[in-house]
Amino acid sequence: MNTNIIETDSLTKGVGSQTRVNHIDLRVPEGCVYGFLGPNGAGKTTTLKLLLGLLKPTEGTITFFGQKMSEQNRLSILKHTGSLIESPSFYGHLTGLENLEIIAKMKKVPAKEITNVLQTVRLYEQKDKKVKQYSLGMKQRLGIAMALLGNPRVLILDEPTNGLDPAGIQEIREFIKNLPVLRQMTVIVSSHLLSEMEQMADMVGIINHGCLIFQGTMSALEAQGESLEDAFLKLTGGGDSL
Amino acid sequence: MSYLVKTISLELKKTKRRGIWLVLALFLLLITGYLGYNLNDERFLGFGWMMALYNAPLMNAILIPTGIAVFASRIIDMEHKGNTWKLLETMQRKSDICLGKILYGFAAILIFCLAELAILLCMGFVLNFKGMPDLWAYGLFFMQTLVISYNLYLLQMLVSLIFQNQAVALCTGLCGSMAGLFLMYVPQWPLLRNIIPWGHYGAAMFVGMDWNKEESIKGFYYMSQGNGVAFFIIGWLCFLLIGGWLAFRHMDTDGYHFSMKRHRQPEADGAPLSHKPIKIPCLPVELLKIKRTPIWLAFIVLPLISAVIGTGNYLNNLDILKSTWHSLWTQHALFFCYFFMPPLVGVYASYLWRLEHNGTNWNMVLVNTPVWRLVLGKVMVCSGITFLTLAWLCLLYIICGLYAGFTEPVPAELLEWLACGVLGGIAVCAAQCFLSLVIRSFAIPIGMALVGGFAGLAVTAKDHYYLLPYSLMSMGMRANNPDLKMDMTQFVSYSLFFIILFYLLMVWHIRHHDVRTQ
Repeated sequence: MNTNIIETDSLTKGVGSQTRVNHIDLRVPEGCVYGFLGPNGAGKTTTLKLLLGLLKPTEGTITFFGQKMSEQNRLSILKHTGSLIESPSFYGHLTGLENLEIIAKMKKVPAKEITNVLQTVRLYEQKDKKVKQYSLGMKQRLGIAMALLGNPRVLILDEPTNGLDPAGIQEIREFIKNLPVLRQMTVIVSSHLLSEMEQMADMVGIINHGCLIFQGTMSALEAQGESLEDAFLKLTGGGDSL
Repeated sequence: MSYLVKTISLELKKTKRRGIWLVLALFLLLITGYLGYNLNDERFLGFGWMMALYNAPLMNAILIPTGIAVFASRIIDMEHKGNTWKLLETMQRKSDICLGKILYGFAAILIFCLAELAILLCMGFVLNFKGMPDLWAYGLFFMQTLVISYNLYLLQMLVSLIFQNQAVALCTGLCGSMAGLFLMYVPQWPLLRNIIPWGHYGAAMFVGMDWNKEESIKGFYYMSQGNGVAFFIIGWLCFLLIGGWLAFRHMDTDGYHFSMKRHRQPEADGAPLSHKPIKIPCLPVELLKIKRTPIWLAFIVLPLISAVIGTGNYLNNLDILKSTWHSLWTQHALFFCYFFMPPLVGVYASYLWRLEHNGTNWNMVLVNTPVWRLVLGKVMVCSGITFLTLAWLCLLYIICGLYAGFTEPVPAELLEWLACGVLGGIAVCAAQCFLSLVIRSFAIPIGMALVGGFAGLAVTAKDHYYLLPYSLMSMGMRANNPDLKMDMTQFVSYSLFFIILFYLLMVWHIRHHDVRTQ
């Protein structure tokens, strides 16, 4: 957990009052679960989209695997990443399997991996059903399966437990927690729920109004207040929804 | 009264920033432009008022069905996309929701028809038509346009409501519009004209043209409408109003489901599980994405309508159309290539990009595919379907020619027409793909394609066909003149120019704009 697999320097999106992400310096160590925490509208999704090159930064740089990301090398870098941003992406008129086949073809991943990820997210039995007939939780699982295809080195998950029932949330939490050990993956997972982060993250970054106000280990965060919740509220001003 | 005003104002508020009125204004502008161009001739001033009444239904038959399909789709699709049906039902009765849509459509079409009438009258006075307009005739024309267009609105609204995939509604509008227009030229089939609501513009015409080959247009005359079309129009109106209400009443809270109508329960535990080993299909990704889509229907149906009615018209006019294969070709290809093929390509392009505009699909696509390949894939699939459509048109042409009993061999140039048509068609695909990429609406680019088709006709009339991709396709197909000899270097270079231009514009647009998801 020494080298940083992702670094951003002064990453900014927007100008003046329209600034959504303001000079963020992320440091994500390899082999950890990095919890990206912040109230609704703090800039979490914007930051993650910037990391994937889906938004153009106004200022700043992004470094993945020691390489500065540019338009030229963006896709070769992203080949080693999997992502689920905002909500799952899918073609509703196709089955779960057909959706995964499309992603596998884009990523040039062998067919046997599709079976693996389907079993991992417990969707194998539902693979021949059209995705528009899936429940919210099943769509979320499909999104995670898509992200896992190709066994990426970095997994970027934006609020991955949205729409899951309590058992599903628990299951995904355990799954994410074990990824660094079982699959040697680094995971960036965003959430606005402190309790969720507490249970799965090793490192945490807190963003509020577009600024990174804390970055460090979970214990370092705890040291800032009587409890984690206290520390979080102190940092974010406590006025925003969690 | 206040209830009605409230209902309409609610719909008006919902359609804010939807550009719906712009669509109607654009089509009105087109009608004005065409009629102004056609009537601004000293030879016609003597019978200008009658001539306007003769030409306007023709323009209405070509433009209004597609315009209304776009309009109705915009009104209904916003509820599908926003998933608002279930929200509305918690606040309004279904009858109120239905009434809102019906009244709003009526108000819009009333305004459109009033504007068209005002434009016709103003045009007459500005161009100095002789005498005064026959107010009774203009009143009748206004009423006919209003009711026929409103019928089409109700029909399109129903299709847009029942099929969430708006490609179905737009294709229905295009196919109906094509059938209606063709049937205007086949008076031998009056019943068919009366039956289909798109044919009513032609069936209800009450001004005829006195014309012969030597003296061209000699004048116009009133003719009686003894074909009972009024009963069909009123019948359709009742049927669509009742059908519309029933469709709303039976709609599920999250939209219309056929499975509900068939009483088929969605499989609770998944579809039957296939145990076949999973294989990555060898087809290109963009083709995999359009599996199970109704897009193929339009490519089969539209050329079929053109072929059936075109051949019927040819066989009924053998005394005028004497060039066998060449005459048959213009019957098949003229209207199809200028007025229907561009919007059809528009449907293909809109459908292909909508797959990515939906939900958060851009997030997935752009982290896995290079932009150049994504755009290339879309243009290639769109071009492939366009090729199949044009090839299908050619095949139907050969079959119809053999059916008509032609003894001469099939024109050898047919392959050249097809090749040139496809090259021009790829230019249209690139242009439409660009429009559908930039404009996220499904229907607006299709309306623009129809306008493009008209503009193509206008630039072709001025001998500058190469200025627009739409006219390149029609000229490539030799839609208006099979004997035409084209400057091939000019044709090929302009086609390639448009293909490369729009391709690069698409790549540039995606690369230089932030991803927007719904």
